[in-house]
Amino acid sequence: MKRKLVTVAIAATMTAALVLGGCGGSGGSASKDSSAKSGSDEEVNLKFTYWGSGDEKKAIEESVDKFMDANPNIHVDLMHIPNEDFLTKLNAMIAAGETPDISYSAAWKMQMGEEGLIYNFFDLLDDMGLKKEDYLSTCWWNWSPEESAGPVQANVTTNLMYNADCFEEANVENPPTKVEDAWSWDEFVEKAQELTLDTKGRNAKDPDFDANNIKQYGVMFGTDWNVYMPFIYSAGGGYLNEQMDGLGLNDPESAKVIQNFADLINKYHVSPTAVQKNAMPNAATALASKQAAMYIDGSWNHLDLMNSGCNWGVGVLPIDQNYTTFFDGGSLIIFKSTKHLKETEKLYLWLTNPESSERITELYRTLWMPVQTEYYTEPDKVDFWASEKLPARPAGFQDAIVKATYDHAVTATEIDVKNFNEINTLVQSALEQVWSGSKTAEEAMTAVKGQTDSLVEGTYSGSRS
Amino acid sequence: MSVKRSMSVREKRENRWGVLFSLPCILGFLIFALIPMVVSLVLSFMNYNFTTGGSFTGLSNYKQLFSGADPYFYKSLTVTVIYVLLSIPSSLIFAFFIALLLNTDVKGKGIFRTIFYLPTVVPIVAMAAIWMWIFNPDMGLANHLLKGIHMPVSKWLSGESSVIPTLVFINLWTTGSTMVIFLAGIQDVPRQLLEAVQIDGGGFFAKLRHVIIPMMTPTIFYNAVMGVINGFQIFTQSYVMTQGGPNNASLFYVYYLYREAFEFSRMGKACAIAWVLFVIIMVLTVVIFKNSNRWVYYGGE
Repeated sequence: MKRKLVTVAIAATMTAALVLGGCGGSGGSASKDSSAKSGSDEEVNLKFTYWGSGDEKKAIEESVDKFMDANPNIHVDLMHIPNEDFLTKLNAMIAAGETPDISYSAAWKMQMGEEGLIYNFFDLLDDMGLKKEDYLSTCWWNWSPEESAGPVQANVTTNLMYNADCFEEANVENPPTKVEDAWSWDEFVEKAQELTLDTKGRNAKDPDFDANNIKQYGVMFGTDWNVYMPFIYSAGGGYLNEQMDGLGLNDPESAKVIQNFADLINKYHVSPTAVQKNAMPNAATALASKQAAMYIDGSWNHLDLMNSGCNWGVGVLPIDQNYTTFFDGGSLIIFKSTKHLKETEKLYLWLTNPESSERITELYRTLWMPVQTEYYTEPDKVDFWASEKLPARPAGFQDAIVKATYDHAVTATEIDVKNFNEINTLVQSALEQVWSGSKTAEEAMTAVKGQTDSLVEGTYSGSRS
Repeated sequence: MSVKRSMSVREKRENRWGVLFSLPCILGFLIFALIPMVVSLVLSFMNYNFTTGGSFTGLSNYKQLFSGADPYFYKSLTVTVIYVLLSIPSSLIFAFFIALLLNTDVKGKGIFRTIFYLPTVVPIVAMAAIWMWIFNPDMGLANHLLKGIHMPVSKWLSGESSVIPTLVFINLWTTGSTMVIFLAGIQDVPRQLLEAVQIDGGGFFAKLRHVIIPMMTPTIFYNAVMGVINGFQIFTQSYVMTQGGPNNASLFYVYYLYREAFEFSRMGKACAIAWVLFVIIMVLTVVIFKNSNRWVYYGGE
């Protein structure tokens, strides 16, 4: 009797555990006919996962409220997830069968595309009344020639930002805003030296300059791929080698670019070390507080710069030959498991149309750039988001950011290189030794090749990136 | 040799209630420990990921780890072993030393005991934030103090060679539980033995060497075993403070496991990594147990 009872108890618990304890969710196996109800007036709930700063969160919340006012039958559950935990959380949601309908996404979406979890955006174009030609040609996240996760949505580019007051005080002319006037790297280093001041006010060219007590750095820069890749492309190098079967960052022309950046820190002392930089504030605050005169990083900083109220400007990158750059950013993905494709498409169109609501417009005038071609080619459309009368669009913006990027854009590295996420994790670790000066760029990149090359599988577009 | 007899009604009823009352525990163990373990063992032979499931790949996950095809496996193992080798002796000695101090008859003994135990109660993330601030190479308290007494400064958590020693040092802060166990052990040392040493003219160190430490060996043994088990599973510190850096110098084994599972979505491989860890810890525990009879002294033997 006793034994029987125990057996029953154990059997019951086993069953309960099997039922309760995650037998993996059915991620994205919904077929088209079960989803895609036509947009009638029945109440629907959509789940939208996204990341972003406090400002971005507020803007998204308010614009989605507007969307719900305009579409009273649609309710959107917003889930803000911090960027660094985003994929973890999303994976857990998918595994638990709670997949969102629509989500922000980074390079990892390509794997989801290959696994059939998300819609091929090309299949939805007609439905939404969109055309491929409407979008910038370099901005498609395609995991094969015929399949796409959609165009970039939070569009940004790499740029040179500066505090004009630092330039005035040091009697240095502001960075040029036209590609044809761009500084060479050597000129750029020289300006950076003139703008780097120690606590006694001597600049980095002064023989008595005290590199241990620097008050204002000439330049600070992000240390990720988005900063050094435009320079590498312009120099004729690539993230991958010519055969696309291995890393290309160790090739002489590419390694030289990375070494140039490291020299700013360790040779010329015009940029803080990685350790010092960790303790420093973000780009906008660093510029506003004059800890840095120039800053090279993404244009997403313009919103914070506008809010900082300092006298800031933008210039073209210091590349005087073969100027090459890119647009880049995440895209909105729509999961195949959605039961309300029509309504999700509506939300997609709302979020990606710079003119859908005031709050969205504001985002495209500060944090992001549009991704539809007309906003780059039609003067009144350009002015709509990039008029230099707008607070986050300083003088020279249309030349330095809009035109320079539009005329010289290639597909961004992270969009095109397969397995980018994992390769770049290795590269980033190895680069730490370059920034700290313990290895040359060529040594570090050659060393890391042994680990990266088994992950290299070429590019999605088939051409070198 | 027991003779089987049928149970009385009362015994049966008691048994039933007994099982019922222990059911929460049994259920908890099954649902949250045993079943997940079995599932993860199965998954470790698959190329499973969250979103699409996976298929059986036999030993390929394990082969990939041991063949060195994975750039992080041996690196993270080395880092973790170095950490364990440094942190266990240091934390045992430190906790033992503090326990000896707390065993003396000072005024406000209770307050001191509370103070030394307190850091253990602080959530590890909060503690990490405080230490990050203290060890900031540029504006941190530690370097500030060192500069003040004209000592060389360190990069602490930002230096490739200094990050592990720094984490070992920080770990001393969380040895409160170890210390409390030592304290209980020390207070159990028979008085008459200590008095015997005193009568023979032995001082504090003679007491320590000939009585306290030998009598404490079971406690030291227990703490060492727990230290190995916990030391290999260090995660939060590197996750919060260093993200495995600089240049993977603090890529602890469990952090590497986390990254494989949740950043690269390779659940199958992550399960293999977890089972390798399980085997390592088990083997080490067995080894410590096996040679314990050489140095652990149980009273009454």
